[in-house]
Amino acid sequence: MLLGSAVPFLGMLGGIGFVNHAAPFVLGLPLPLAWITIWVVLTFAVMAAIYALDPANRAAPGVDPSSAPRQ
Amino acid sequence: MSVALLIILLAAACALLLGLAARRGHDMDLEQWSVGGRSFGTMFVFLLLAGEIYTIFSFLGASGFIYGHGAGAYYILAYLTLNQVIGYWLLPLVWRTARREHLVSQPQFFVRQYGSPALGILVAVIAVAAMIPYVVLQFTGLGIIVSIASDGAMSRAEAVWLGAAIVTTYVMISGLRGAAWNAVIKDVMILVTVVFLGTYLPVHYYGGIARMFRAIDHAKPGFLAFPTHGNSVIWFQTTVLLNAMGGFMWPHVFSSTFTARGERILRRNTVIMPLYSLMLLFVFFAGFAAILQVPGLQGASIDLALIKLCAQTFPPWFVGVIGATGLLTALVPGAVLLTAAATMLANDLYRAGVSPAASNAAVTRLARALVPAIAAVAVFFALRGGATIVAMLLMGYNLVTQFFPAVVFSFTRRNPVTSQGAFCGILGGTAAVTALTLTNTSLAEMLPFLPASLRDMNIGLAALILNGAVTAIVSAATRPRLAAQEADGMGV
Repeated sequence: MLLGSAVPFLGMLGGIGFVNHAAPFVLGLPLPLAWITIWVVLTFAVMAAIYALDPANRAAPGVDPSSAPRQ
Repeated sequence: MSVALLIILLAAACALLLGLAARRGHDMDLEQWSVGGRSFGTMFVFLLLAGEIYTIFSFLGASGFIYGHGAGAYYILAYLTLNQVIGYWLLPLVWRTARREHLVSQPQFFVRQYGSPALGILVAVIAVAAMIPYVVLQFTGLGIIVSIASDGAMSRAEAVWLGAAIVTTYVMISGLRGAAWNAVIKDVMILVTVVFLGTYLPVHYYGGIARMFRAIDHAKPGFLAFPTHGNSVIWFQTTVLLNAMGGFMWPHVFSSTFTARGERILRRNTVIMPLYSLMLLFVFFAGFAAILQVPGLQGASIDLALIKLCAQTFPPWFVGVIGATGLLTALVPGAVLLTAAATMLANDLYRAGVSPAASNAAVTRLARALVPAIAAVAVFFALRGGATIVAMLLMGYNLVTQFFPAVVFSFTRRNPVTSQGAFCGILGGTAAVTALTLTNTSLAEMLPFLPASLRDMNIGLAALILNGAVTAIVSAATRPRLAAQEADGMGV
């Protein structure tokens, strides 16, 4: 899952070099800004998936989550 | 007196009264004053953490940066998002340590994790130094917004003094609680204002957002993408990376995670926050709208772009409302920063370094007394002017990010970083940032052999690399002794 968190970094920062020109405009936005905006939304999706899969968030209520084994 | 000024003064009076009323029913001991008695619910934890997104920095600074440098400003949206990804993993660990050790401040975290009071004092000094430009930029923005919104009826200096007086008064009396009440109103006002301006201005002047971008691309080719030099792609990548690591290293943000009821709340916050930061797009749109409408602003004046455009677009009463929003947007973070800085000076410098026997009451008294002093220093720099809002924040980020390696490594099972290593690394990194910033040296000048593609790298990241190297070397030199001690202790 920690690896999954690297995806937004690779996408947003790694990809920017390939889209660094204003045209074509996407949804009216210049391409680099559209790229970053899309990755903000994708980051939310990736992190929401990680949140759902992370066993740390599934501990039963009342159980101290910090005592649950992680990784 | 103009209508706009009247509305701004009214808002100032309300902010002051609300801040003072927040005290009611609470004895202001150190814990109440500095962390609201750890009694803030989920909603306020969210507002505290989200409050970072909507300071005067994003209102005037981001739109001004768009106006002056175009694409460079996209970094703000990118780093606020990636910062949350790091926060998802980091904040629960910080929170657990804080709960276990009953921490109230960031320097205490270092003292406990590394068993080194000296490290705590170093962190406190650097943290306060980094927060000063952050307070300064709130006052600078406040001065700009009030003086232009009131059409010069109140000068920039008068506005800065007024804002500083209000925030000092309610922080001294109500501490963080004074900010809490104002924060709710401020977040609602800024959200509504920003969405309205970001939609209305492009439609009014260009007939839509898509048309606006085409008009700008036509008038200033290349402005909407990263340039080859200056705020180039490598500048964007390194700056985003650096700020994403630094975001939670701000002492006031770091310690606001302490107020959460549980670690799951923190994870949920970090997942949602990227969507909240999308509102910055509207700030960008408003900044872009100003480019062709209020041309000719240069240097530090680019921060004036948004409010100048508003002043020439809307009737005075509405400009007053925008000015009032700007005032609150500067006062709330100003209060949070002043509280955190004063607490650290009194608790983590005075008590930890000078007078360990000082009572809680004495430390609280000292913290309160320090508030006007810190505010006065910030006013001094705000009136001197010179730097843009974004430049000031970038310098603060470069400083606090130097804490990042030591914080992360402190959570590893067998921390390879020793307290001496962390101390020397942080010291080296911040010394490099300070030297490079004060002498205004770019990496290209210092390391002329660098390939052209790397020359625009953020100096903070270069300092972080130096920090890492020093930490590794000093840790390696001091570790064997430590390992031997540990082995003795365990009887192996």
